Amino acid sequence: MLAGMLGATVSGISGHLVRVEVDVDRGLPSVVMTGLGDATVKEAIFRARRAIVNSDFIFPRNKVVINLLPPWMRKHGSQLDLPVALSILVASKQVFPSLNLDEILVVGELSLDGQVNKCKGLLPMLMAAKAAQVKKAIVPYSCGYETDLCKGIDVIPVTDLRQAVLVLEGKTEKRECFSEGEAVDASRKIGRTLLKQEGSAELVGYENTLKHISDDEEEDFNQIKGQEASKIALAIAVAGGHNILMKGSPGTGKSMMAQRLPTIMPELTEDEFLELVIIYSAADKLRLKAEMKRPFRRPGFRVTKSALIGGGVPLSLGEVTLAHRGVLFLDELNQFETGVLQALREPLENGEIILNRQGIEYHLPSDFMLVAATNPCPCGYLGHPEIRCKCTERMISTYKSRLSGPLMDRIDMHIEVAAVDYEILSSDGNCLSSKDMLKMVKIARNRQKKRQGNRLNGKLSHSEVEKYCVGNKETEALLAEGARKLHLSARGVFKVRKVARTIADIDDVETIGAEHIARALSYRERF
Amino acid sequence: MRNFKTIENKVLDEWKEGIVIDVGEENSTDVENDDISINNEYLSWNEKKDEDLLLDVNDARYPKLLRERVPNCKPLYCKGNIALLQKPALAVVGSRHPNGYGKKVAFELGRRCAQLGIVLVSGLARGIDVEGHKGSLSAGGETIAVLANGVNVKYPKENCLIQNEIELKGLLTSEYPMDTEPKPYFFPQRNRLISGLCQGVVVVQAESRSGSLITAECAIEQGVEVFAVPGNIVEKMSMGPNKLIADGAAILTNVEDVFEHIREFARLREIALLNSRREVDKEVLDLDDLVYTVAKGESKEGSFLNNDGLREGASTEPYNYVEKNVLMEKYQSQLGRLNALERQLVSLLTAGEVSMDKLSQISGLPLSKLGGIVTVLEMKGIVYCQMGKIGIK
Repeated sequence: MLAGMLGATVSGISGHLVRVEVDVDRGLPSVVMTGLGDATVKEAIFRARRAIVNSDFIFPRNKVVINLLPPWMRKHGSQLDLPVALSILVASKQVFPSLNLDEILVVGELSLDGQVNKCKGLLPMLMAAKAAQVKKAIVPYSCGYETDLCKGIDVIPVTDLRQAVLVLEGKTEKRECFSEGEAVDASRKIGRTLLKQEGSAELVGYENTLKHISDDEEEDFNQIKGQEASKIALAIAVAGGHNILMKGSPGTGKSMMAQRLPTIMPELTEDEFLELVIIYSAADKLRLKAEMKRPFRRPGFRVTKSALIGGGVPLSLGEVTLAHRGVLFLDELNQFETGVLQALREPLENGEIILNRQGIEYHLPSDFMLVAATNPCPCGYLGHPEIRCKCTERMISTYKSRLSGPLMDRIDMHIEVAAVDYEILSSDGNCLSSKDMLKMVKIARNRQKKRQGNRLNGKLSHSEVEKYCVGNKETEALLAEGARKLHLSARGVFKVRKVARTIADIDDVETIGAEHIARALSYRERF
Repeated sequence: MRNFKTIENKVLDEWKEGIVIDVGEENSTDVENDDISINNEYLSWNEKKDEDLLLDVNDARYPKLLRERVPNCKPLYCKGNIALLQKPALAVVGSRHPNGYGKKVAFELGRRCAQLGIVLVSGLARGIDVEGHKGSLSAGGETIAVLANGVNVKYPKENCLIQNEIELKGLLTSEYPMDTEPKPYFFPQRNRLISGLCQGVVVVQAESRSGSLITAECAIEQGVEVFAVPGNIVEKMSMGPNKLIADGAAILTNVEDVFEHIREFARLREIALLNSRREVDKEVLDLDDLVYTVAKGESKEGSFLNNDGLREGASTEPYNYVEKNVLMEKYQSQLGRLNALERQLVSLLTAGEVSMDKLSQISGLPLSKLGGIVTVLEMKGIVYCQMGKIGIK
C-alpha cells in the first residue's frame, strides 16, 4: 500500500516542506530510499526499523520504497526519522490515521527504543508549514519555547513513537504542559545533565569552573579604569549602531571593553527576539529563554571565509549571521586574512548575506555592529611612551596596508586607546559603569526611534543624512573648516555627520551643535 | 636601451671633447688603472643628463672638506647643482619617528638656513631629515640630500616628491652607483659623508641607539662641531641628544645658537642682519615663553601666532610690522582667537604628552566637553593627537 506524510528540512534559516512517500509491496524484503537524502537521512531506515520493532509493531518483510519529494532538493538531518517510521506503519496497514495526512507536519528524530528526540530548526520548519497552510504539527516533546513563537498552527508534542501513532489515530488528547516553555526548558536541562553524568566527568568539572567564574563576577564597565574617553566612544558607537575600530598597544583594555559591550546594549524587542530564535534554532545553538540576549560573537583571527559569512553544504550559518542584532568583535583585525575581511563588505553594506544553493537564493540576515581592535604595529608598541617599538618601517606599512580600503570606509569611528597610568588604575575614583552607559544609549535610541523609526544613525542613507544630520550655518562652517584642515574625504564628512547626530542624541537635543561636530571629528580616521 | 647607439655615441663624443669630469686632468692614466670599475660604471651609464655627474675625488669640484676629512673617500654620484658642495653647510639629523617638537625644530633650522644662504645637508630619511629638507625648500633655500642608495632610486618612497624637488632645486648625492638599492650597512657609511660635508651637525631627536649618533661620532672624529637639541628627559627620543650634551656637545638653547657659534655662519648672519633694514625677529622656540604669552592673553598673542604665520608665508625677506599685523589678522580670521578654556588646556599640555583621561583629570573638564575642544585646537594646528595622547605641536 502507498502512504505519504509531510516532513521538513532546514537549509540556512529557512525550512522546506518534504513529502515522505512510502510504498510497501510484495517482493523480496528490501528497503530503498530515493530523493537526495544525506547520510543522516539515509540512516533513518535503520533507526526507524528498530524503533518500530521496539515499539511492538512489525517492520514489513516486503519490498519497501521510500521517496522524498521534491526529489531534486538535498535533504539534511535526522528530523525525517519520525515521518519515515509513521509512513511505513501506515503503508503496512498497522496504523489507520483518522487525520488528513496532508494537513499535518511530522518532525522528530527517533531513538532505537522509539523515543522521539528534539531536533534543530523546529521554528523555521513550523513557519514553512504555516506558510503552506498546514494546520497541525507533531513535534518532539523536548523542543523548547520556540514552538510558542509560531502562532496559528496546532502543535502536538509527543514523547515516543507509540504516542505519535495514537495522535495520528485521533485516540489521544493534546497535552497541555507543552506550552509552558520554561518547564520544557527545565526538562531539557535535566536531560543535558544526565547525558553529562554518563559521559565525561572531567568535562562537567571544566564547565562548572567556567560557570563559576562567570557567575561570580558579573561583567561591568566599572571594572575598567582610566579609559573613560574610550568608554564614552563605545557608548556613542552602541547608541548609534556605528562600527568602531579601537587601536592601541597590548594591555590597554581593548578586548576587556569589547567583552562588556553586551552589558550596555538595550534589550531585544519582540521582533528581534523572534529573528534571533529562528537563527539560533536553525544553527542548533538555541539557549534557554532567559539566556537569549543580544549576541556577542568573537571569531578568532584564523576564521575561514565560510565560517565568517556562512556557506558549505548543508548551508551553515556564519558568524555574521549569529551576530545578527548584536556585536561582531574582531580582535587583532590585521591578522585576519585579507579575503576574509573583504567578505565582510557585503553584510556591512546590506545587513544580509545572499547565498545560492541548488537554484534557491538564501537571504541570511546579518545586521550587526562591527567592533574591531588592532595594535598600532606588529609588535604593538608603536607610540608607547616607555616600551621601544621593534618593527621596521616596512613591517609597519605592510601591517597598515592590510586595513586600508573599503573595510575602513565602513567603519564610522576610529579611536586610539592609550596606555593607562598606574595611578589612575589603582585609584578608587568614580568611573562610568555599565548602568550609566546604558542610560546614555537608551536616551539616544529613543530619539532615533522617534525621528527615523527602527533605523539607527549608523545605517542612515545619504539622503537621510542630509535630512537629519545637518546643523545650522555655524556648525556647517565648522565642519567645512574641519574637513579642510584635517583632510577629510567626502565619505569622511558623511561619517562625521552620522556620529555627530548620535552625540547630539545622547545629549538629548534635536539640533546638532558645534560641539557635537567637534567631538565627532575627534573620532575620524587618522593616518 | 632603445637609444643605446646614440647614447653611446654621445658618451664617446663627450669623452673625446673632455667634457667628462670623472677622470682627473692631472693623472688620468692613474685613475684608469686604479679604478677600472668606475670607468665601466661610467660607460654603462646610459641615461646621461647634464646635471648627472660622477665626481671624482681629484676633481676640482669635489668637496674639499670631504677630501681632507674622510680617509678613503670615494667618487660621488651627483644629481642637481654641484656648486652647493662648496658652500657653507649645516647638517640636521635625527630620529625617523620624531614627535611634533622635533619636527618643528628641524623645520625651523632648515628655514633659517635657507634665509641665511646656508646649505642644509641631511639624509632624506623619514622624520627629522625630511623635515629639515622641507624647511629649507619652503624658504627657497638650497639643500643637499646624501643618500644611502643610488641617486636614481626613490627611497623612502613617501619622500619621492621631496626627492624630485631636491633634484631640481638642490643636490642629490651618493657614493653608490646610480641604481643601487639601499642596504642596511650603507647607512652608517653614508653618515660619515653627511658630517664630512658640513661645518656643523645638529642632532635633533634620537634614541639611545640611533644612526644619528653615528653621524655625531663621525663629526667628532672629523673635527666638526656637534650641537644637540635638548629634550624632555622622560621621552626615549631625547636620550640621544641629552647624552651627547652630557658628553660635551654644544647645547642648542635657541635656533640662532648654531649660527652664532660657527664662524662661517656667523659671518653670513651678520651680512644678513646688515642687509635687512630692520632686525629680523629672533625666533623663539622656547615653548614656555610661547605659551606664557598665549595664556596671559596679552595682545602680543601675535608673537606666538606669528611664528606660525611666518612659517606659512616662508619669506626670506625681512618683513615690517605692517606686514606682520596683516599676517596676524589673516591667521586670526581663519581660526578665531583662543578662548580662555583653550588657553588653559594649552598651558596644561606644556608639561608633555598626556592621555585624554589624564587631561580630563588635571583640567577638571568633563570628557564630553574636552573631546570637542581638543579637536578644535587640533584644527587650529596647535596640538596633535597620536596614539591616544595629546601634545603641543
